[in-house]
Amino acid sequence: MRPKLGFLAAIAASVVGSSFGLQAQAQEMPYVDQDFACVSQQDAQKYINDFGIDAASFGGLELCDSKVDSKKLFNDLYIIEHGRFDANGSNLLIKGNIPADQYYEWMRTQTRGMNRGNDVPYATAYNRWGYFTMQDGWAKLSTLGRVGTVIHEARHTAGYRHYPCNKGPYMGARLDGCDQSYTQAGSHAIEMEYYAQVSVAGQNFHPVYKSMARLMAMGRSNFVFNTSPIQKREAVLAMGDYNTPVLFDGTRRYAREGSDFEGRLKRTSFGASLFNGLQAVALDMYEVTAFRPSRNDDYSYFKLLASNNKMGALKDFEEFDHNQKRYVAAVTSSNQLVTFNFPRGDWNAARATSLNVERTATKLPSGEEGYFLITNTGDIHSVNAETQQITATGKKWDMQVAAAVTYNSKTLVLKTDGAIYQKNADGSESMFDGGRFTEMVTVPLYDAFEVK
Amino acid sequence: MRKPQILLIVCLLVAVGVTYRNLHHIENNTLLLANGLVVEDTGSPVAPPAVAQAQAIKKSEEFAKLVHKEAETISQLNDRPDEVQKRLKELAGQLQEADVALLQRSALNTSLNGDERFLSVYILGESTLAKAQESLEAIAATPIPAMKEARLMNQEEILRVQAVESLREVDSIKRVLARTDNSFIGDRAQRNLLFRDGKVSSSPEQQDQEALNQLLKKTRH
Repeated sequence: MRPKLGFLAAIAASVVGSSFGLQAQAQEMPYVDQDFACVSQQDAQKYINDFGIDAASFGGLELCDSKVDSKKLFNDLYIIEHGRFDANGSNLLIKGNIPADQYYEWMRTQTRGMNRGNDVPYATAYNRWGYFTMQDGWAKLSTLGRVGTVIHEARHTAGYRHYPCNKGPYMGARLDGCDQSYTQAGSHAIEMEYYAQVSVAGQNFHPVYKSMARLMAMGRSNFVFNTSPIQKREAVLAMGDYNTPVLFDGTRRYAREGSDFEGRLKRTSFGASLFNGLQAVALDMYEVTAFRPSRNDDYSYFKLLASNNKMGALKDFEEFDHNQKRYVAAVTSSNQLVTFNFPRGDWNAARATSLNVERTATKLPSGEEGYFLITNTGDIHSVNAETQQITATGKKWDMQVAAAVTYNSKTLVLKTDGAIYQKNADGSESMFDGGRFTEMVTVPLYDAFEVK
Repeated sequence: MRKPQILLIVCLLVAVGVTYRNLHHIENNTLLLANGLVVEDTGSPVAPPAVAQAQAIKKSEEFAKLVHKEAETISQLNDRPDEVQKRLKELAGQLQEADVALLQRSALNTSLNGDERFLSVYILGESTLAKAQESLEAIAATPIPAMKEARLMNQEEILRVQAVESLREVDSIKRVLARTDNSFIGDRAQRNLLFRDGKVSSSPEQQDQEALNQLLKKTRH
């Protein structure tokens, strides 16, 4: 009887699906094998000998349980020893600061001993004359984080030290925490090179390990080097006749689509916008539609204008990054300074500036970056982004200058005659573009920028 | 045919008819249960809610064990990473709505090791459940707790960045953007927004791979 067979089949499917399905599938997976994640006694002993590991300080010799720190360390060294990289036709294995196929041997020559301690709680690990002490923070990291730390420490043995940071969480710290640059090939660079190798050319790593390596490389490039090795691409956008913006990208010049919306040209974290004190309309850097659209800017932090229902029309509005933190600040029509509080999701209380602010800027013609208030008499005041403290700089804004930007290490100045000039090293100026422009900003462009 | 015989045959036919109807009713309800649908109690012999809840909890516990085991394999090497990738997709395919909250809790639990936390986000990103996307948005927008140690802070960042890069809906990415003051997370949100909005053809991951390739070329002697 078909209905009865169907009933029995349904019962069977129900039982298998609800009670035993996961277990049945789990049995096909290799990780239910009890020995799968164990390191052999022979390998463990080799690591102990090669790296002078004080196993007792890592919780005793443990071959299988990854909760024990010695097993964590053995995992890390196993990955360093057996991780493989694809040459990918570009000689990656032969070249590089540390050749990708020689990490283990290099590590071995740079390590005199390893032990576990908790004497410096703010550090992950430290290296004293080739002896590494791994701290509590090391044990809480991901496998990739631990491997990166060990490789980082090994580089210090050759005498590579850190320098004071000019940005990021280590800035102003008691201990120096940065490398000057990637090409200096210090500890941060070697660590980052490893992440990049794993991400680009890693062959036998877990996909999650590779994914972490990519993000770790990108994230650390932002704050452990005083000159970041991965710079976001920048272009210059200048507002020309008939509200038509012109984009200067490398050696190319593109007419972009303007908008019938009347407003001042502003740089945003996403590109550029026109801002009229109450709302912002995004300009499209990427394509021209011929419709001159007026789309509200909800791509950048100018979208916070929509939540500005108490302050009325604003004199100016800026979003800018400082020490890995994004800030949004505005000046009201009554010259009050107000900043956005992201954790609270609301604006902080406005505070009086006692200035007659005409406009704000995030870059001065001298190239200095920060958040600045420019008064109606051209006086420049600097604002501390974190404390909102205002300090007079003693500098004056040149009234012949409409805008100044740094582009490809050059200072470009838009003057009130409508032309853009380039400042030369000898102090002279040469014409960059003789168009008739009224405003100019730099805009961030992403690497995959495609002009249509 | 005599009268009693005819009566008996009629009774038997009625009995068969009633039995068929009841069996059919039971089968329909069982199929609904097998598909995880909630069925109103209509007097049929289905599992009581407490039993169904216990089964759901048991399934969630089994799933948590699988995630925990998979996290242990992150510190292992494998000659077939494509097979591991397939296994991760299958694991994500088994994700039920009830498990989403569990993964979100694991992802944000600073007492767990980094592998299990990152894997939780990774599985949510591979899942096709709408609830998984909501969870990723919540993870990405969760403020980073204050920490003394910069590497642990960095771990918190990349966890959230993995979440924001896994978001598929433009509006969801925009909501994260409005809630984070971390410039790295903000930048990744904007890159993903450009990609999901069709402004650029390469994903943040593809952009990174290109940038890292260029970086490695710098150090070739």
